[in-house]
Amino acid sequence: MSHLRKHKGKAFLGFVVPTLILYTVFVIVSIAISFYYSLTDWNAITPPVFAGFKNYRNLLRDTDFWIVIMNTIKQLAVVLLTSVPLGLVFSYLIFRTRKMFKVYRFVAFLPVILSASAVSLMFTLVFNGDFGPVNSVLSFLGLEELRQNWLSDPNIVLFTVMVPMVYQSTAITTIISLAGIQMVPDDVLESAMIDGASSVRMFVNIVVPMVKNITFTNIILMTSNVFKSFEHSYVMTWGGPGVRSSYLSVYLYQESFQKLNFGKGSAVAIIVLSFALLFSVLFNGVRRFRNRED
Amino acid sequence: MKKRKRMLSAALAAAMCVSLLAGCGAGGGSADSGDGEKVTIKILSHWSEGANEESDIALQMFDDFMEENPDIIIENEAVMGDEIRDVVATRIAAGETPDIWQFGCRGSLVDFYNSGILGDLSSSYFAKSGKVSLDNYTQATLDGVSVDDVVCAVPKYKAVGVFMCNSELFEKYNLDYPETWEEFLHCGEVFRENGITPTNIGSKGGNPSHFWHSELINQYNAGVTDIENLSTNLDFTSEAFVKAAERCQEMRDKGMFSDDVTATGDWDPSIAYYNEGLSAMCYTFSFAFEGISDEMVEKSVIIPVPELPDAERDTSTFMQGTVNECYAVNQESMEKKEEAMIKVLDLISHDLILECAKKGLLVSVDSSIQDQVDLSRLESPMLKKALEYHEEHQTEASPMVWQNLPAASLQADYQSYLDELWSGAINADEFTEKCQKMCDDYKSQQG
Repeated sequence: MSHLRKHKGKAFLGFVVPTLILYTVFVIVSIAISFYYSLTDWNAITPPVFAGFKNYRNLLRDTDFWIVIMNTIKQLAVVLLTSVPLGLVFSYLIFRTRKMFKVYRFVAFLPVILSASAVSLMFTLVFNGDFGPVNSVLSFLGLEELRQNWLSDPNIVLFTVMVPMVYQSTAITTIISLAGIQMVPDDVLESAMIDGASSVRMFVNIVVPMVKNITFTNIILMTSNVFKSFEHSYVMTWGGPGVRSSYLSVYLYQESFQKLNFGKGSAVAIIVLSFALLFSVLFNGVRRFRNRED
Repeated sequence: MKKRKRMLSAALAAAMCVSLLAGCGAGGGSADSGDGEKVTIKILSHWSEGANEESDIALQMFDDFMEENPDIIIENEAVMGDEIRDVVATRIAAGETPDIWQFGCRGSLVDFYNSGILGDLSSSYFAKSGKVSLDNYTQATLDGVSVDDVVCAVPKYKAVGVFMCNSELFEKYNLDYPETWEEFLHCGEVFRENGITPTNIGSKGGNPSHFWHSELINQYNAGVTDIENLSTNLDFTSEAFVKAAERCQEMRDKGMFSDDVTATGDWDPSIAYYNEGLSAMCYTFSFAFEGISDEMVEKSVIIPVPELPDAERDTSTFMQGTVNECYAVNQESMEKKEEAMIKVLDLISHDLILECAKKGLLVSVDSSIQDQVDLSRLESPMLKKALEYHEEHQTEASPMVWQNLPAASLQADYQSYLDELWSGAINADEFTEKCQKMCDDYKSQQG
């Protein structure tokens, strides 16, 4: 027994320590350095000068920063309310498809393998207010009053840059949910069918509850994607006009690399970390609560 | 235990988000002292293989140069567009400052000069160069590459601006080319009624809107000095500035811009918009001429920018278009690898520019080079047309707001506020207020 334990200890050291060292150096130390930079005035050219919490105070007073925070929260809400349920529905539809299942699965997966920049560029053309197909179709249908300046109107642009994000996110949640649905035991579904349950009822009463944990995984994944999302906004509008379509990561980039405010940019990074932590803890709390209830 | 595990996994997952920035470790700039006997010169540029004719010429010249000078290695790294600013900043932060990099002028140089990365090139380069002399540049050009009156970069080329009309559309709607602001707005109204966008001036990242904004300010005598003094007094509330912002708002309100100003903003989309006949008038610069077809060049008539009702200057005598890009030179490299640096700078500031100017790929700010250019033999019909216009009118380059802002953060904010003004997110008063606030904040930070 003790021999086994001794070997286990060695195996533990052999497998875990290298990873732990790499993780500590590349993640934990990086975070610590980012936090230090967030307490400095640093333009990346001259050495950083310690400034205490000045960057955080400036951020809290910055109206643009609050617009960006709200944009990110709106994006999170939209992605969670669309991509996660849509992914579940699409995956069920694909699952129920008897013919060409693999083709539908491939088509559903396609947006995931396309680069976000390429997808964003495509949507930039689609939503071009002057000659894009969206406005052309609206005109063709006689719905002139619905034509919009999709990429310039400050009231609309945020939702426009969310479209490619939702498009790609839905593809991810569809594939993950499909894998979850395929794990639902066949006999459960067959019994329901024998009992005469409709497709909708099977979806609502069997599939949704049984892939609950997969859905939570999707929620966590989408939350993390939202806090990282950059390409769609940056490629389509550079986060503009002003910061009307900027998310936190775009704002971080603008502050750090365009304005050379690396101190402020690091403060934004720490805030992103805090948000990601907060939401992860929050969703895990909800999941624990739901599991306990069940 | 489970709870702790969950917390740990949540914390570690979230932690990934911030590891992004920390990769930029601070470090002092240092110049590579070379590889044994050989000296390596690292250049960050826009020259990438097959990107354009200038790139091909530059890369070929580097190969020839290294054959002739086996003791010098040129390491060219291509970075596209404004990304070069990000790359330079991160390289400096990592202690890998390039020896030479292509860069924006004036305000873009300030942070680098103040930190000692850039230094006085008058004695270290210009006095020792066999090909490039300070006497060949105008004072306006030298101002564009100077900080605190110290020439700290080598001017590269000048942007040649044009305001032009699609003659076919003007004839079709029986309109004369606008000379005054009222005529300009009237033309816009007629074009709008017929489903044509009056101008191609969009705004994405402040392009090309910031040039147009400066163009309007320069119509006032005080506006010229206001812009020139902007780097020191940081005042956006002067009469000329306020009036120019109001005129931009008026243009927006009267539909003089495209509907989707972000989509038609930046250089390539805005020129494509005009080239496709979607706008009747075009405001652009020589670096975008490549996007204009020969057919459209023939249809286009260059005219002065329409005069504002209370303009004090004749718009046929000036236009935006000063030195637009320069070579920033690492002072430390200049000291450590002087001979090689001078040779390479001569190559890219003289030989390359001469070759490109002769082909009409750019317009040099070095008079000794531009004097050798035969306009009649230029390959670019648009550039030929533009240079003939400027020669005929003897136009002067007018100062630019963006270049006179003394920090990258101010330039970026100014461009962002222009995008908001163009899109209607803010009005002219709010634009002025935001610009002034950014200046006041900057002043208070500088103490």
